[in-house]
Amino acid sequence: MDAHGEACQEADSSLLALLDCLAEYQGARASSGALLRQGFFDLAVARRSAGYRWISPGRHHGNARCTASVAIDGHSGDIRLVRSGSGHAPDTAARVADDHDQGVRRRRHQHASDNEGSDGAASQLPPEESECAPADPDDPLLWFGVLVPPALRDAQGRFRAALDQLVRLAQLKAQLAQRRQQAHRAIEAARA
Amino acid sequence: MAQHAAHKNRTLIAAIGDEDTVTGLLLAGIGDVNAQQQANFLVVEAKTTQEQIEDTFLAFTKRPDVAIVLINQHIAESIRGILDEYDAAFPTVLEIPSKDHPYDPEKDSVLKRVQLLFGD
Repeated sequence: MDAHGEACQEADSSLLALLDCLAEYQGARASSGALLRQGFFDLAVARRSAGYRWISPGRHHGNARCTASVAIDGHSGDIRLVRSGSGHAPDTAARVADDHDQGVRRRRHQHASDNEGSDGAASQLPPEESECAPADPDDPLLWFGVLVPPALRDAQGRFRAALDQLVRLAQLKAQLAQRRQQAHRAIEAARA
Repeated sequence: MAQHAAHKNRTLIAAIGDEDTVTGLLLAGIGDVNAQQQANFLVVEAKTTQEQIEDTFLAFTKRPDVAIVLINQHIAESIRGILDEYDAAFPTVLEIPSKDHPYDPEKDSVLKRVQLLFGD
C-alpha cells in the first residue's frame, strides 16, 4: 500500500475511534440526564414532605469538606471519582438515632430472643445489630436532620449515581478532544 | 505527561447551578469550603447578576484545586462568550441539565467541535 493509502487508512481509523468515543459520550449524557431527572423528582417529593426551605443549599455545613472528589492520574490524565467517608463510629447525633432505632426494634424482637433458649435454637445476633451499619458522620444527609424523608435518601442515591456519570463524562470529553485532534491531523495528512 | 502531573492536585468538583441542582450535588458530597472560606459552589437565583456568575466561573477556573466545573446549561448560555473562549483542559467544564431546562445537544460545545471536523 502506498503512503497515500496508508494515510487514508490512518484517517479512517482515527475517525472510527472518534465516533466510538462520541457514542460513549452520548450514552453517558443520556444516563446522567436520566439520573438527574429522577434526582430532581425525588428532591421535589422530599421537599413536599419536609418543607421547601428545609431542603436547600443553605443547610450546607459551613466548614464541611467534600466527600466526593476526583483523582487525576499524573501519567495518563485519567479522571476518576473518589469518595471519602469514615464509616467509623457515628457522631453523637447519629448514635442517638441508632440507639433509638435499636431500642424500638429490640422491644419487637425481645419476645423472640427470649424464646430462643426454650426452642434450643442457636443464639444469633438480633437482626438489627447485624443490619445496622454505623452512620457516616460526614454524610451530607445529616445536615438536614437525623430523621430525613426517605425521598431525600433516594435523591442522594440518584445524585451520587449521576455524579459518577458526570465524572465519566469529563473523562470522555478529554478523550474526545484528544481523538478529534488526532483525526484532524490524520485527515490533513491524507489530503496532503 | 508533565502537564498531567501538574493537575494531580486538582481534586474538587465545583458547581454553578440553580437551587435544585446545587442541593442535589451537595447531597452527593461535592460541597467544600476551604480555609479561606471559599465555597466551591454558587447557587444562581433570580437576583444573581451575570457579572456574579462570570466572576465565579473565572474564579473557579483559576483555582488550582478544582478539577471539574459543573454548570447548568441555561446558566452557561448567559455567559456563553466567556465559555466559548475557555479552552483549558483543566478544570474541565461540563454543562448539565437543570430541573426546568432539559439538556439541549445542539448547544453542547463538544458536539459542535466534532461537527466542525466533519464539515457540518
